[in-house]
Amino acid sequence: MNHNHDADDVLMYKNYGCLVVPLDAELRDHTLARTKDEVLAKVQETRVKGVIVDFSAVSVIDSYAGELLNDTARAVSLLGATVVISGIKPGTAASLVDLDLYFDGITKVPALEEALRILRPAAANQGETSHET
Amino acid sequence: MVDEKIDIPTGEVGENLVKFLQKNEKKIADAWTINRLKNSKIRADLISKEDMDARSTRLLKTFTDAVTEGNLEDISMGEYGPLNQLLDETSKELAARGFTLFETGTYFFSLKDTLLEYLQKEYSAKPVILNQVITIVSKLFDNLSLTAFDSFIKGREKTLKGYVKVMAEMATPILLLWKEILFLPIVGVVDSKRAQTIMEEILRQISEKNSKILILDIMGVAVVDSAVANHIIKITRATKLMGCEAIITGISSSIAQTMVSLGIDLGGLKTRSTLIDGLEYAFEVLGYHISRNPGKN
Repeated sequence: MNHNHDADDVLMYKNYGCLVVPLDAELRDHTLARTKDEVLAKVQETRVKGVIVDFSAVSVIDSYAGELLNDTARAVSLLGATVVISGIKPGTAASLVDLDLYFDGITKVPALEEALRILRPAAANQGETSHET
Repeated sequence: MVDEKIDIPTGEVGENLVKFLQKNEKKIADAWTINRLKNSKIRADLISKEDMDARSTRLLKTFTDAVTEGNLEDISMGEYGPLNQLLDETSKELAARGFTLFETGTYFFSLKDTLLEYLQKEYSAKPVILNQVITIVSKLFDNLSLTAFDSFIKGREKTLKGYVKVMAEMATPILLLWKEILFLPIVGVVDSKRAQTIMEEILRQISEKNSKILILDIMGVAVVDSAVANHIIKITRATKLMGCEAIITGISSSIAQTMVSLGIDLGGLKTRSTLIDGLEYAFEVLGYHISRNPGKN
């Protein structure tokens, strides 16, 4: 994964019709706020059907980051996209439990590949639909 | 020889006893040792002879001091304080060392036997007095022994509590039951400290083994109350964060009733009564289908 980007850039990319948002190891407050805005904007703009938020690089998470990500996921769901969270590590899981944050209602998988597998059918359908247009 | 039919006040028996003890302390101590070893219930493997002899000497001396006032009946009085204390310490020590109650009792009773033997010789010519003396001394020893036994039991219970604690802290073995199925039987007490340890270990294993399902068996959990249920629920929510679904098995009908009456809400947590059922569910979720070769019975 290429992390050669300006510290303020929100990294996300399309893969198999899904929007993948790999979180940085350091979850800085202002970056996260921008993440929420940009992800929602992108989902609205591209009408993507699946959003994957990947936690693989994250080892520590505080309540601000946790709440913000929780809100982001729920907002994306409201826009009609399916959100899948991937890659939560043991330490992060333990922190989230302490923060009482469980991302209820959102599917959580151990790895990115898994998330893609789950979301691909939905994304593929979207692809067909857009071709027909 | 004139038979003395007079009732001798206990105090006088006490005074005579004290004089007798002080005069013969060493002889009685030695005789006690001989009697005790004859009984061969004193475990030289658990405590050395020297150690035991030192204790015996101290007990005898403290006993002598206690009866000095002439009170041979009420062991709750102040003069029996040091003796009660020493009996308490000795009993607890013997309990901790692994003596049985029988062995400990034999130890104390062999002093009583020794003492009574000497008293029988001393008062052999005065049967009425001998009778009174024996009754009084026996009763005294019975009372002292009861407190000693009580202390012994308390000492034993303390040791047992120690074992329970050790067992409860024993490493929780998380087993890989099938390719993506982890299994953990929880046995014993689940307090918040242990729950935390269990959770950390589980999360680590889920990451390492890439497992999708965790079967948590609670058949061996001592008490399932709201606190324990919350610990378990917390663990299952943590595993869910890592993409691993937890199933609780080993729920007995009494635990089920307790949980219902306590109003414990498990949310979407899957539960089963037996491990077999839990495994069946796990296979179903993972998409496994089990079939048997024809011809095998």
